[in-house]
Amino acid sequence: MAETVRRILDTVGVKRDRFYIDWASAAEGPRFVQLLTDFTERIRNLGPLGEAEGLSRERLQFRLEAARKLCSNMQFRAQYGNLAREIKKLGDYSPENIAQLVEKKLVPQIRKRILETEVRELLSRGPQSVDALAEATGASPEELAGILEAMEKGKKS
Amino acid sequence: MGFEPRILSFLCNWCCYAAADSAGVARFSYPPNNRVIRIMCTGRMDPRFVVEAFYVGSDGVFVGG
Repeated sequence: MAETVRRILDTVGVKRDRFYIDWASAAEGPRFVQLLTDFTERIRNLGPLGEAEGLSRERLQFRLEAARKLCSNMQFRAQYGNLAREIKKLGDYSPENIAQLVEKKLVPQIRKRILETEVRELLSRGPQSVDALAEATGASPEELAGILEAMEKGKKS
Repeated sequence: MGFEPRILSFLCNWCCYAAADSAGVARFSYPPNNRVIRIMCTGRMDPRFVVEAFYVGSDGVFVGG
């Protein structure tokens, strides 16, 4: 879960430090206070959402909207579930193993789906140059070419 | 300065939520910036929750298991 979230945040350009997961048992009140105090301090140093990232309010909202669509996408959710099952079967829950599997199985999907949603949305507002698309989505020209080609194919069939 | 971050916390009913409770009872003070959503187990967490939290304008998301 945590690794997937971090990858999604990376893709849309939000700093992954804004998300933090940790454990404190019911008896560890002081530890909980410490964790929360440290985290609040870190966020205070990062500033409001978008500031440390150098993203405007509209751009951020636009990119997070694409991430939201990704997370509600049934196909993506199935892949996410399948990966969880696979990790369970392997029985290796080390962060390295999970990071490696997420990198291999989910990251291409995350990038592809988020970028495709963004490209579709931008193009529905009118014609755009490839440079403008690349600037708005942070995608490489090769990635954009692949997405546009796939969209073209989908139209024909 | 003057920036007060808005932090959304998802706390597990059995772990961090109880820890927060005991911290309150023991009168420890901690920053007032966080808003808590109690979940029945950290296993209930979903990437969607975190993305949604940022979408509605949280500056940080904390998950406490």
